[in-house]
Amino acid sequence: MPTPTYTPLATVTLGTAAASVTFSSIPATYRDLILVANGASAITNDFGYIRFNSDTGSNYSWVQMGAQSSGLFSSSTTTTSWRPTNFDFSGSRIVSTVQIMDYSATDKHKTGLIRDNGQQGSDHVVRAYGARWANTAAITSIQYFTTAGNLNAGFTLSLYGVIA
Amino acid sequence: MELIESKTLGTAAASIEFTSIPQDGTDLVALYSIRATADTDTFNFKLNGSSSNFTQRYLRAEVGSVNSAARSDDDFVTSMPKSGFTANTFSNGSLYIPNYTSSSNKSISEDTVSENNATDGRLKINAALWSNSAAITSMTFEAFTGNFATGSTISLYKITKGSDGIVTTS
Repeated sequence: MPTPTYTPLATVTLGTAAASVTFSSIPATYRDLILVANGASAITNDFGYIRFNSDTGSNYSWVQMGAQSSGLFSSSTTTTSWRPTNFDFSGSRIVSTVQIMDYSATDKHKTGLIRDNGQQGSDHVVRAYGARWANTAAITSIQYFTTAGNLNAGFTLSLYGVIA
Repeated sequence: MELIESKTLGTAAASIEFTSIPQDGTDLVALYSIRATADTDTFNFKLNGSSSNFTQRYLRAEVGSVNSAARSDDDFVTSMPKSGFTANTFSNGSLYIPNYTSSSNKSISEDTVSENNATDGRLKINAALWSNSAAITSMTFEAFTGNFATGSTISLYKITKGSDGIVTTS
């Protein structure tokens, strides 16, 4: 029997539309975390965001590359959250996979690798994204949130732990 | 992540199929190491036997160029080495499908790399959608032309949601 590499920590399926989901009391017993977001929203031309440990400071740096119908793009910035999900059209489906490495270490900033797949009608936006949270604290909570509308009922967020 | 089934070709074959996919998982992950015998780097990807209602947008890096295109078919391009590529090289790729038993359309994320002649690396990330509300019960990889080469391997895993009883959500 192979050893499971994704240990399910918690899954939320929204029964009603909501703008935020928070995972709290994350134990420090794994090496990495993986957050999977999947579903649709009532949002147009905005994003799904992530913050750790309720930190609202400008401690979140990221660089992205991607493609969509308007062409190729890349950018980088430092801001107040990671931005793992593109919500371009209301009702379009997305899947964003966020890998957070060494999340419980207390001697390093936390890094993340993100893959984002966002429907744009009959087209898509595809993105790869690297990110850093400039904080050495162990991650004990993750908030996934929106600011321009709600995640639709049925939207799912799953958090997994990966053992080294 | 739990292995459902792994298939390695002992002889070249035109397709690799997974049937009777268990319905007790949440997400599916297919990891592939494949190669074509013909002059094509494309496989056709079918879910529940259907090649319809797929849309895609890929971002691809090749020698000297980065490019992108949208597709409205089941042709997953640039996903494996083809005839004439360096012998014994196979692609390294993954397909991720969340909530595969849901009644919603199915998002598909693909990452793949392959290499030829020590100078011709190819990297692709792909966003796809299968607009079908049926639960996924079978998955088929078909070589666009010819066969998958001997030694091609595809492993299918399921990821199951759950709770550790510690993490809380709000």
